[in-house]
Amino acid sequence: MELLQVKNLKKVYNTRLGGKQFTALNGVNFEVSRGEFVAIMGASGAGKTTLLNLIASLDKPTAGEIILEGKSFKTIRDKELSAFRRKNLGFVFQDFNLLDTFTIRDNILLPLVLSNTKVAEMEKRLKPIAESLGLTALLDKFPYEVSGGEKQRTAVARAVITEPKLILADEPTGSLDSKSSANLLRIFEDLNRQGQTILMVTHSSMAASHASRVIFIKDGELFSQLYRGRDSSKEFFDKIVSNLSVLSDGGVDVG
Amino acid sequence: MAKGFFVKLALTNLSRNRRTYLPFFIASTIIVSVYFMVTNIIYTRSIGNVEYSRTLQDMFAFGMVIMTILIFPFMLYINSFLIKQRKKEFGLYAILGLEKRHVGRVIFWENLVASLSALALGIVVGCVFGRLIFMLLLFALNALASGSRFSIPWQAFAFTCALFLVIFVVTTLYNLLHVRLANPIDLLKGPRKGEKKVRFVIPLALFGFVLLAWAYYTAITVTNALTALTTFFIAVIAVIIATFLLFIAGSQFFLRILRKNKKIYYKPNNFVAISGMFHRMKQNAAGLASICILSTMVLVTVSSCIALYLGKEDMLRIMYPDDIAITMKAEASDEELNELDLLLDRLEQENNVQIVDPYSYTYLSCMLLYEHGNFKVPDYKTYSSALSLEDYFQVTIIPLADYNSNCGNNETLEQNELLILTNESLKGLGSFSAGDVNYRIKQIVPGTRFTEGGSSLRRMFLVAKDLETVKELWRVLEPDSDGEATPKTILAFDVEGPQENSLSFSKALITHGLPLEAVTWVNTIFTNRIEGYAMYGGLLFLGIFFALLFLTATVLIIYFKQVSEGYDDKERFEILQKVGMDDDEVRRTINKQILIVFYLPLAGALLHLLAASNMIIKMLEAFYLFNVKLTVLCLAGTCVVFGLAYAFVYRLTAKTYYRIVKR
Repeated sequence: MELLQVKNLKKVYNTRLGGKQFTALNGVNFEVSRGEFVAIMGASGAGKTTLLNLIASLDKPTAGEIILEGKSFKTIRDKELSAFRRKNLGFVFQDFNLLDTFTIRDNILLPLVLSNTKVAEMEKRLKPIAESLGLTALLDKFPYEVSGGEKQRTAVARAVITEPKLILADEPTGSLDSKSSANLLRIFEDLNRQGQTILMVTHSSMAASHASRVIFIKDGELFSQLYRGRDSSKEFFDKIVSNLSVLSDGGVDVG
Repeated sequence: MAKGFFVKLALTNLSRNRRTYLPFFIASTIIVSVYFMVTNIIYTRSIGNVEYSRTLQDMFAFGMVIMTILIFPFMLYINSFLIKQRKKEFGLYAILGLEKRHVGRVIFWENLVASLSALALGIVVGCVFGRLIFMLLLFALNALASGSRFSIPWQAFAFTCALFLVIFVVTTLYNLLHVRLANPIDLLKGPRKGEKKVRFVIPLALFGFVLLAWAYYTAITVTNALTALTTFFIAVIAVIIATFLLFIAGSQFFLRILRKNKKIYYKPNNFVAISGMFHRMKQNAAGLASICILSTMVLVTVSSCIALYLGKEDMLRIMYPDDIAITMKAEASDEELNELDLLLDRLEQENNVQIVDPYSYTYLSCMLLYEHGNFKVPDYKTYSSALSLEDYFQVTIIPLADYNSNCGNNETLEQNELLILTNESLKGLGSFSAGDVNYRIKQIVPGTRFTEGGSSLRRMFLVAKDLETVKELWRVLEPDSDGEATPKTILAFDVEGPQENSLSFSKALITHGLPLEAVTWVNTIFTNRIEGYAMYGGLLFLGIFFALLFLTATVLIIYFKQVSEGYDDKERFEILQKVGMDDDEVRRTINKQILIVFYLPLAGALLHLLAASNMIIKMLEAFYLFNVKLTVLCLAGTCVVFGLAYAFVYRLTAKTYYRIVKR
């Protein structure tokens, strides 16, 4: 069975003044298997973030269905949504979304604390994660005292500490310099190699070239898919770039 | 660039920032009008018709000075708050290519428009309400003085305009300096900078705690009115410092302990709340401490002014147990006494009143030190040492004959025997020795008419065998005097008749009695009542004006804090939801924090007042207000009303907060 099934997903927004309607997603279908590292690419306004928000259960689709491990989001009551999100999904955002009132340690532990985990258990889980992400020395600092790359690694640690079924990353390299970006993508690859399923929305072909599959979206619809297979990330990168030039219909730069 | 451009930009800015500028404008208007009304009362000739209007106007003048001192820092504080809120905007101007002097010009016009319109509106409001206040004042003074008409003297305009002009100049300079010193990037980043770390948390918290404990201890253990008066000021300073220290360092200290305890800290509810509070207290401690102190000041001022106003009749009765007391030379000749007698008879008939219950006694008085159950004659050493006034007794020595005739007794005394009349407890005092003279105390008599009324000092009457013994004893107790004992006689009586007649009788007695050879002083409750009413009525008004000022300050600070909290929380709200806290949970935890943060100052203020209540009661005793029940009622009533007003203000401002967070 596939881990994530997205069936005929449709999302229509009403414009602010109410008059016109805007279709962000129009019948998107795809599946993600356990252990996959999938990147979703597309131009600005193609519907990437809308799609991610729907899968994150932060927003509700106009039509269609999302099923995680056989459980449809439709069947989850509003009150249980937060707990469901906490248990099954891990998030990494472009702007980190760390709380400046918490230390790095507490930011990482936040989802565990919210699920009422025992202190001993929390510490047991924190230690290896902090070590592998190189955060051990920073645990008692506050977010405004560390660099962007360190903030994003903190966000990754926060995402994986709950051992989620799926990690959702929204432009995770968007606010990072190239060195930190490369570092973060290596971390994602490592996590993926250990069996973690990752779904990443990105603008950057470089970031996407680390994934095992890339889904291209255009104007709210699935446009094409690329599998990495045995390609090196350099070869895969070239394929992605040439695919993007087809996608952009010539002329429009999508980076 | 055209001049009109800056004015226009300034006006647009004001209306765009109305969420902060409108409350600022309203508060400034209130402050201007209060100040205007106070200066109006000082300079207006219209209350000149009221008797003892000088007392009243002097008191208001004193109040005006204090108000000026208070208004100044307060206006600077809210100005600095306004300007800090707009850092980002100024940064943007700089990026868009406005030079600093251009921004300066915009700031100048903004401040000018806001200040000038608040000043103008404040004066208009002051004129309108001034009339109402004037009527109320006359009513409170019980003095519908004929020919009193409301007028507005030019000084009221001049002083109000002058004060707020100075404030305008200072705030404008401050704002210009603020923009000039900053570079655009800093301005843009503004509030995003990291937090200041509070240093020396533990020593500061401990010091604050000790200071507060000392102040509370002093307030609770004070037993005497005069000590209360002298220590009040220093206790107030201690409480102010302690409040700031405890809000700033104490809160951090407390929260750090909570955070160190992992069992408590890592619970879903506490986790977000404790770190949230940590952050909030760091940002807002000073503001909250000021709210706490301002609230305490409102409570103390209002409750004591109301107690004094409502208790004025009690106070008069205690100060003047007899309606009229005439002090005379004891050695007055029969002729002189006769003269007074005739005068009293004549005035009695002229004013259609009756003298009842007269009594008189001859006395000498002095002060004695009471230590370890023994009386001592104070010498220069004890005066200069730091003994408090509560160790002293006010002593009046009278001959036995006067005691017997006034109390209808038939007591006899030997040469070396004394009677003591006092309501104080002097247990175990068997003999009375001063210098090398030793007297046996025959009896201690409480509750005689001599010791009626009250005083902030402890009092007793010594009854000696005859006038010669009185003089002899006095010479021993007052060794510094040149041995010249000049006893005085007091003639005291009550007056029966209509209030107005009694008043005119008293006035006539003062005008015709004082010139008489025998009379040295005339004290009447009727004339003193008018002065007392003028004083306490005036005090009540001053108290209300001050309360209005403090309240305006408090409300504005609460409002501004809510706004700034709102912008901060908006972001936190969103992140918490994304990380997996549901809407309700987030709302609940933030609600809880906001409630704690804003009710903490109220709780602090009530605690301060509770600790100070004993001191306030004692202090009011210095004004002869011994009605503890009334004082306590006033304190409690003020607390209840203030608490409700505070809750109301909180609700009102909380709406703005939620509007910001939810948007």
